[in-house]
Amino acid sequence: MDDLFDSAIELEQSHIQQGARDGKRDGMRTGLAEGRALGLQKGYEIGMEVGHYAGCVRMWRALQQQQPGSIPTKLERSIAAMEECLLQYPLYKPQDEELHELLEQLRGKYKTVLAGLGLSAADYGSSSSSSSSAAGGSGSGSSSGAAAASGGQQPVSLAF
Amino acid sequence: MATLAHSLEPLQTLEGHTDRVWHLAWSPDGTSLASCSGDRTVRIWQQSRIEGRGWRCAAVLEDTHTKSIRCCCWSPGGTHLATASFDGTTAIWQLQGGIWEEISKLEGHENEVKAVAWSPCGNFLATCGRDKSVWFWERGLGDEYDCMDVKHGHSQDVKSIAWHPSRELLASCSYDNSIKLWANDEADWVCVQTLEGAAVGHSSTVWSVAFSRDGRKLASVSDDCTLRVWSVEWSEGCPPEPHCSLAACISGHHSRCIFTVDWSAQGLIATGDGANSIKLFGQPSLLETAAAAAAAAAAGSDPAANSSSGYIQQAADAAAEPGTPQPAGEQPAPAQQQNGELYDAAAAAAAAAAGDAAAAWECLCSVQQAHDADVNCVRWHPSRQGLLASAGDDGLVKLWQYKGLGQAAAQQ
Repeated sequence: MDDLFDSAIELEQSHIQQGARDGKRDGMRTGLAEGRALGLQKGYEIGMEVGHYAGCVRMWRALQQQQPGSIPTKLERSIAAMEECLLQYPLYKPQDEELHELLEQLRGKYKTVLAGLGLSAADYGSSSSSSSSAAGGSGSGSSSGAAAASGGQQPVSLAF
Repeated sequence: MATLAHSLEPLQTLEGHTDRVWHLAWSPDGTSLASCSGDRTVRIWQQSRIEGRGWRCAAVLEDTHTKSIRCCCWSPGGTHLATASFDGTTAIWQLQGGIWEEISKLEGHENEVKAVAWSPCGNFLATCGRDKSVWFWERGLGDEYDCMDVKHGHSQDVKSIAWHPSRELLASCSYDNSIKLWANDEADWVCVQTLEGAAVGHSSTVWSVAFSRDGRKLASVSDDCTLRVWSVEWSEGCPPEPHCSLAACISGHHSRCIFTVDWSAQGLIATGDGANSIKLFGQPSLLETAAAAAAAAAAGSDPAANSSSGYIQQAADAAAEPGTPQPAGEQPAPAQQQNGELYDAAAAAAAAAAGDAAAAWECLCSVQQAHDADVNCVRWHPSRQGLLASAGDDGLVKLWQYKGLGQAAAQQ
């Protein structure tokens, strides 16, 4: 009599377990795909922004060499801080805790330099400093939108 | 019992602005009141020299900003005025030969600038805005202000900022429900603390923050209808590091969003809210102690009161940074001349000595329909005890006189 009822109860249990296993398997599959897509998107955005700042710093340094006095000396500290930040930037360590803080630091120094030069972010075809105000979810759409809206300046291509 | 003795009497209504008045600022010497408005102007109000005539508009600053002026702030020396506008710029004005002129414009914010504040030492200016950033500007040669640092710590619109009265410490508050404290690390500004989280921080937009005059407390008000008082402590060390902890959460008094908060010299807190009311909060036990001390001091020569006033003078001297330009002939610290002013010093000393963090807060009085619309700003006069100015969405600036315990005899 025990066996009869046990197998009936176990049938329910085994269905539940099977369902859990299937759900886990399917969930992992779609989760991985979603994660990959999101990671690609976020990585692209971060890369774009960091690359933009790296390009600007290179350009300012080149300008300083070719036309001494074109960059006010009071900005030296901020540009040097950006260089320091860029050298340390963990582009290949996506789980580095300081990833976002360093990016914010770069953003802040960048704006400080622009303000010191009397320019606005729009003048420099900024990639992501305006997308920071867009909701986190709208991702690549807003960053390319910002680049397009700001006058279509060509982003500097870097060898990194 | 204590509540019956407190009142806020209307003194005068100042008309002139043609749109909502957003913000008020008393000049450091207390002779002028600046108000800024959605009508894109700033009005400077001064007391008429003719007795009984009250305050009248002495100047209108216009044709500079292209959108609402959201905030105005005097320089510590009272010679300059900074205005922050929805047009994304901050203008610096100077009074020259009786005329206000715009001498500088600070640009950089991506959109609306919500607040501007001059550091008490006069060397730094801070602005904050809807672009979620707090900008620090440093005074350079002449009247130039250079951008020092841009901080992106907040995750939403930054509503307001306030400087500590004696240290280089800035508090900012935001739509992201948090309050951040910023301190100077050489030429970089760093967020040293964030006041947020369940049971400690506000649960909705924090609209305004204000340090008490002695710098030992910070008050914050929010859309969550609470007023929070934080105690500010400094660690031993070089340089000393600040740390804030929640001392009191005052709730149940406001039915709508609280927009503005300000500390008086005696440690009273005034708030203005979206229910058109102005409310005053204080710690009755401390006020009673102070009133008793003041009465004793006024009655005769009380060595205790004299020494406490000495303490306050010392504290005030210590608070003024070496480089602070003092307005000629004026002292920002209360001078020991009138009964009322002495009460001031004794109250502050009593509060400081008694370890005021634990004393209970009460709503001392509440004025319903102080304005016909939201009350955007309340500001206590820097030296005249009990004089309060308020600004509202109804386009009016109103002056009020607070009368409380131990002030029956004191004159304004």
